[in-house]
Amino acid sequence: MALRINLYHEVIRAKRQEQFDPLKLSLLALIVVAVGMAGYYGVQLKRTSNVRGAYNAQKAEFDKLDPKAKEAEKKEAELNKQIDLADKLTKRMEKRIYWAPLFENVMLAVPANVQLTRLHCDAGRDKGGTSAMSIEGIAADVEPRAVAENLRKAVVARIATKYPNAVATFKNLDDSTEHPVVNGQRVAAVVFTINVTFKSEPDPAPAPVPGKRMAKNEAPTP
Amino acid sequence: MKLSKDQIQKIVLGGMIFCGVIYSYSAFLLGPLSSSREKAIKDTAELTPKISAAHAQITKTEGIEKKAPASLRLIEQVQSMIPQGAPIAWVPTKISDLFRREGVEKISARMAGELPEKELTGFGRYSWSVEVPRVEFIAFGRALSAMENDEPLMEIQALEVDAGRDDVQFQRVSITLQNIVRL
Repeated sequence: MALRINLYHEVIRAKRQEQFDPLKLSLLALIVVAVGMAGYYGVQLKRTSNVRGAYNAQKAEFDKLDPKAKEAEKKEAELNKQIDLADKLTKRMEKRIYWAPLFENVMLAVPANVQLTRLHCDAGRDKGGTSAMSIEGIAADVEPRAVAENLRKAVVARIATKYPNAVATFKNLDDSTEHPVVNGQRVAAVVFTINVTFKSEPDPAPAPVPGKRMAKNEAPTP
Repeated sequence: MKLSKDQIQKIVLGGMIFCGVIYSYSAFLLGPLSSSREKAIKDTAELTPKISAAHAQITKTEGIEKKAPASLRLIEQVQSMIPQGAPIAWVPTKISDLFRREGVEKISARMAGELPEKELTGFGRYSWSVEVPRVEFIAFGRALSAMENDEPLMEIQALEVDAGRDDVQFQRVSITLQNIVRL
């Protein structure tokens, strides 16, 4: 058997040492880490760039919208003022009490043996919206108080068709010294004052259109 | 494998440099990048509701703009119903003409005062006292009806009808009315 002798072991060791030089290895590791870090930085830069891009787009949109929104806000305030004014004008016109139809209702309720001497109406704008009507007159009949009471009921029933909260009460109901002749017969008479109150606020009257002539209320009939 | 002193020194120095590089990398590169991104995200989040609010405001105003012409028309119509000039110059004439048109001849209207008008910006309110010394009730009722229908800016505040004792056919009427005027 031939004897093999390695005469190059020193050279091989030197080669191996050179191959696994720690400095060389750490330099390699450093390069790998540096590449990794650069790559990671690139990825982060891309993400940031995307986010900033989205922000810039939103900012541009906002910068474009903001003056328009501010202008719209101003315009809205101005228009709201005008709408509010128009609403108030309409409300003011709608809230009015139409006295002519009320007079007609009162007149239709008056029987032949009653004479009205005085009518006083107050819209009551300064009294919380409670309107009042005072009806003074003289009723002549065999039972004049019953006639006056019937008139009170008839008046409130007619006014309640427009103002459901209408209330009518006697302020006074006194015997009169006069004895008028009704149907050729001298009868007793009473003087009365009927107070009618009603709230005009929930008035469902249609809004009058300015500048346009509305259908006329019917004139009171006797 | 045994490291020489020189090699150990180099490795320690390399390690220190590595640590420095890592620190610089995160502090001067990744850190600002990250904070810039976070700020952008935060700002975007803050902008989103502002943009929505701006869109909403514009849409809301557009909606109001569609509603507004009717109101503007009404204001214009009301203004066109009020003649130019001092109310004392035209209101009594207007009332007299209106009653005369309905056959009520004798009428006097005088100004009772100016009232504060807080609700209607740009408008004022005047109070007037109208006296009709002798009128038949039917004719008066017709005139009153015409006034209430034709003059939506006039509002009767108080009204008194007195039947005359001497002549039962005729009544005496006094009216307190208010009307809206332009300022």
